[in-house]
Amino acid sequence: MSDREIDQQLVERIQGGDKQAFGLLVSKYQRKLYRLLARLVRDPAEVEDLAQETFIKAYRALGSFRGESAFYTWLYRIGINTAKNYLAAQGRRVSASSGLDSSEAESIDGGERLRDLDTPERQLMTRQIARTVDEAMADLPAELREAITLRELEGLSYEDIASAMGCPIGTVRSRIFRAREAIAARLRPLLGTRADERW
Amino acid sequence: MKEKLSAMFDGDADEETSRMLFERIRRDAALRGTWDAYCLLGDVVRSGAQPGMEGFVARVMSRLDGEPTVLAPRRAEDKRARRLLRHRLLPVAASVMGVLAVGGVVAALSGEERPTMVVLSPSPDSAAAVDTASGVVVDSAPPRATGVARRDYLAAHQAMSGGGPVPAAVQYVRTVSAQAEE
Repeated sequence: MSDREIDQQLVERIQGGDKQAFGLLVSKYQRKLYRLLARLVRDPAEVEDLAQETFIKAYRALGSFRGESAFYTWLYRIGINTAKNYLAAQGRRVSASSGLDSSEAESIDGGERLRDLDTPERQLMTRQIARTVDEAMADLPAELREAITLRELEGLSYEDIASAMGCPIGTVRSRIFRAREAIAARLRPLLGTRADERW
Repeated sequence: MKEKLSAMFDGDADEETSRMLFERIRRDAALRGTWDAYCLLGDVVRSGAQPGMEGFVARVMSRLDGEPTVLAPRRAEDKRARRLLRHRLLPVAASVMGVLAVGGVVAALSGEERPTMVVLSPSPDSAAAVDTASGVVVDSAPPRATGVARRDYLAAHQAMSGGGPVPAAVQYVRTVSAQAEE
């Protein structure tokens, strides 16, 4: 199943009454959406509020979502409209330089801008997460690092990775899993969500 | 379980496995934490620094508590229904329509002009038409008596017109000649 098909399966679960499946989509797209909105709105607190508002609007509209477009394209369209409405209410307009539409949604990299916008606490967390992932990647055995890099950075399929690394697909699956687990183990203390904040 | 989740994350799980995993995630908070971590590390590896979003999902989900549950016709069921219609019902419907069309043509033809079987009687002057629908035999040829009368009439006419040196014999000559041809 492709990424889009996985999203569609989650959408269908939500449409069937499984509210919690929506949390998986929020978890998956929260940072991309935040980066998108941060290009339109300067205030970091407002960006988070708008991100929440976008997800709530998406949830309300999910009943009519039929999967003609990818879920994230649809979500980002809602995000942009939410931001534009917010700016219009503030008597401001979306700057031409932001020039965002849903076709650009996938390629947004607001890293530089995020560092300018975020609060000191958020900047600290951002740096810690990035450093932790870098260090965890560097500490991985070479074959695990190569497998996870080919998958996450290059976007290769398991079949292509198996061909590139000269090993069976099952080995690729296992290596990527072990790499993820090693990195996730280092990330978990940072993510330490409080019990009352778990979803 | 986590290895399956990792594989699903990369599109290496079939639909049934994904469904089973989502069902497990729904009941298992630790597995949801694993999903969160995999999402985050993927974003960091692909796009570098990521905004800290601690507790964001929980905040959105708590806001959803006040929202009515979304219930919509499920696309998968729609697709299954369409697939069933396309692969099973349409050929049957097409066959039925074909049979009906052919039957309709046959019925129309038999209504306009019922097939008849013509049976030649031993005499060339008469023929009997058998109505196959009703089973009634209709003698559509002129009665045998009509043929005899016509021959008598022609003989009398030729005798009166004087068409030859022996007018009275002409009729017999021609009759004999005709019988020879047959």
